[in-house]
Amino acid sequence: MGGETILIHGTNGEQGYIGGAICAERAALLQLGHHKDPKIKKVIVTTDSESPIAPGVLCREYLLSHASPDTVVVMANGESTRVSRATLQELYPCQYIYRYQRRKDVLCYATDFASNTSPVTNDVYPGAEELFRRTLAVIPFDGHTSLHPLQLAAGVLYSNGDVEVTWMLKALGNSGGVCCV
Amino acid sequence: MLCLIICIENVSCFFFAFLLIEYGNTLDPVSQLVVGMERRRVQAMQSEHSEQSDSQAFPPALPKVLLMLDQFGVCHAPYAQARSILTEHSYGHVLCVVHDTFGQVSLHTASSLVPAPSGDFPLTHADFLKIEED
Repeated sequence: MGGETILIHGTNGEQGYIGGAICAERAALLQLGHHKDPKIKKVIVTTDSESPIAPGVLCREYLLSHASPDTVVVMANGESTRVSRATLQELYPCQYIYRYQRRKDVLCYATDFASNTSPVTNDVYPGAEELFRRTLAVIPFDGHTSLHPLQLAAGVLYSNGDVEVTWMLKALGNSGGVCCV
Repeated sequence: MLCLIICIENVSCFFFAFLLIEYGNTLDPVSQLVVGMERRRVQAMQSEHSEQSDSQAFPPALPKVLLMLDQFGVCHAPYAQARSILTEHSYGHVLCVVHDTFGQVSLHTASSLVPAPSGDFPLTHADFLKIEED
């Protein structure tokens, strides 16, 4: 930051219901808000266990919203006798296409991006066209666009030809936030 | 963003709390689909052991391919939570239809979207499930 390299620490926190746990990576990343235009140079994950631990999937996704895909993640055990390295790209392929877009810009960006996408045809997978069509049809059920303008739906094709589709259920809540107290 | 000031024995500490309205309670659609996958899997198991079954409602069948798309028809890879659920609950083989950053569509297995780091790394993310309780 401002040419200076500083070290930011974070630790994980668990609670009775594991779903509300906060991991060390995100605990550290939240502190970036104290600084202006921070640039993440490297991520280091260490543990008191015998083996190194990689960032969990949620944190890999979260890290990619704050750092470039070629950012190196160093993973070490407690004794630093076993060290592994990987880039965020290697740890989390197929990142969210709109991850750098602000909410007010995402529709414009998505419209432009979609105009250059290749179609989903049965050449991709037998039955993919029907799956795509039926999934797109339920997009309008993803309401609450006031929360976020992007609407999402998903569909799955089964081995017997069945198709099941559903849509995003948006909810307003601050469970995505962290109170440092 | 809120600021909390705690005064302890004449020492003032300032804390900033980030309340991020990122709809953290949202249920992504792929995670919801896993419920249906599980229902079929359980019913397949039950139908093997019982003459009476409700298998006609949800015929036993394997999920083969899924996709998540937005209103513009762009196919996105499942979000992190869904990737974890698919991989850790034996659906890593399911193919995901994804548009890449160049707009080209391709298929990826769910497990390939949660890769283990290469090298000296005995534990993959999903291997945590195999750890027995002491």
